[in-house]
Amino acid sequence: MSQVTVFYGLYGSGKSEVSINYALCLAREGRAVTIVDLDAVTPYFRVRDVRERLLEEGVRVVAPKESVRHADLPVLPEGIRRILMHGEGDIVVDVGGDPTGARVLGGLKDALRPGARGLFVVNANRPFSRTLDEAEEAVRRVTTSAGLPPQGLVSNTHMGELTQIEHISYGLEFAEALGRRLGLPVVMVGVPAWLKSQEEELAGALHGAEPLYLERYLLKPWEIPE
Amino acid sequence: MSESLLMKGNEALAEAAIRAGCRFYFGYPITPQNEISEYMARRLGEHGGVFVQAESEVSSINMVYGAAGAGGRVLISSSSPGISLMQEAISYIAGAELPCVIVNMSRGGPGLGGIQPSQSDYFQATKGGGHGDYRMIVLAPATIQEGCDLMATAFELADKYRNPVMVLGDGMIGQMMEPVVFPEVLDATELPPKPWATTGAKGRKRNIISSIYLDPEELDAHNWRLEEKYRKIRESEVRYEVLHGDDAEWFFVAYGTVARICTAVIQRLRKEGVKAGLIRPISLWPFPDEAFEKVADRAKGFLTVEMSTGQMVEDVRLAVNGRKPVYFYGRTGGAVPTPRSVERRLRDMMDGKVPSQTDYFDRVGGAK
Repeated sequence: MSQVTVFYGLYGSGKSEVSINYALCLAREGRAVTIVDLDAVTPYFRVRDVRERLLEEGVRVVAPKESVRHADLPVLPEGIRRILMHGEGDIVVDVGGDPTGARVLGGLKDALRPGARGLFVVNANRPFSRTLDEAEEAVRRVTTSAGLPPQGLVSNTHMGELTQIEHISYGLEFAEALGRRLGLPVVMVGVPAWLKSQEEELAGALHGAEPLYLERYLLKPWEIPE
Repeated sequence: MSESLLMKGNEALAEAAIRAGCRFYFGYPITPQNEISEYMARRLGEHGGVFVQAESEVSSINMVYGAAGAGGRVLISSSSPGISLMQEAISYIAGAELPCVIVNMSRGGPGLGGIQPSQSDYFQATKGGGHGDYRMIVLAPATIQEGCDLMATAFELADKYRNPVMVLGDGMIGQMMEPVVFPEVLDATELPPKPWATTGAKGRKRNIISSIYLDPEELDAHNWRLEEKYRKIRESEVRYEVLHGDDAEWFFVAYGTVARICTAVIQRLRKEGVKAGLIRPISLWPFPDEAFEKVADRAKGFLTVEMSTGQMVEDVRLAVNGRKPVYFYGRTGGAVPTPRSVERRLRDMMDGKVPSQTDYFDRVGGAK
């Protein structure tokens, strides 16, 4: 069964990295995957900036065309409605941050297939989602603006390169508490791939939750390998 | 949980300004710095502050003039073309000796340019973007944490010298995320009083905020008094960082984002036994000449790397003063120097070659 998965959330919650990693994860299982860059509000660090890397691994990339990649305008990919309605295989949609970015999806919701699942990405170390009250308000504002009720949460609490297991376990507890308030399950936990080696501690932190191991693709200029 | 937060540079500078006692923010939207305005719009009111999105950059900077004259701690932010529009009022603010902090998250120019990161506003920031004999303190962070720390410094220096201070970043500094730790919110009532401010003249002689001096003798005196203030700033407010100053022979000179790239290259070169180091100006004005004094005798050469066609390199040449070779490598318009191309330039220099100053001429041929 092919599935449409929409990642939305606040600015900087990690939607793009989660989308990229999730799409690659599906592709590596041999599934046909399309990733849709629906971010019309962020000027840097977007899915379209790693288009080549995704294509290499067989992920189809739907993004604003190259000629307007750096335009300071909210440009949508060509044929976006048709792709959302009739695109083959799995579709992963990376939505722009905050209610402002999510509004773009709101204008396309009639094109979403029935069964499309909206997953709200939350990082409890980010401004405006550090307390449960703030995070709850964020979920309501973003998902209302997107016109797609959430079906689950993605716990993506981290501290960049300083991320430790404690951040993962704190973030998961936070997301579970948020989920209890909203009646939503935590369907994925973002875990930096380099923490994989700490198997026991990680298993303890996840207590059965599903990890999504995250390699970083959206790199700062000095992090780009040779 | 720890007190660290994961923040975009723009958000972090806004929060740091609030914690430094800033209670007035004026701005007008422009990419790539809009998160500053958005953050201020949400948070400044919680601290009893005033947020105004004006109808233009010209309006917003003149609101800064007014609020600073009334004694507030005032912040304004924009990006390159927006900062250009503000130059007239910045000159007035300097002439009237008012404190304020201006953030420029610069992008590629000239003209409308693009929205990707650039360092091509160095001349405008450090050489007087507006008219008249004035100087502006310019601070350039290379990490988000340093940006937060410098924001507090910027407000202190602005008040101390009654002068505009610019925090000069680029789009990358504004958009990237790093962990940061903030100080407690400063108690704004404990700031030193500003007896010169226009706070209502009841019971005292009125204060006048102005930059008009029609009598040439008076204006001459005013300018030399300002110059004396700038001399004190040159003496006391130089800030820089030197990496491997004790043994380096080949020095990169870079600030902000590019300093991060050079630092990564130095780590790699050092593993291969190359004695590379970095001079990183933090105050772009006053420029840290003294950093070069300390190493010029031992150094074999300096390679200035910028996201411009060569602006800071002029100050580097003045500081080195012909004692050692100074070379330049730059990319512009949002193209960012890659670690590999930076390393190649340094290796060319070590081989006694003149490194090509940009990848563009490498591709199409032309001037070195």
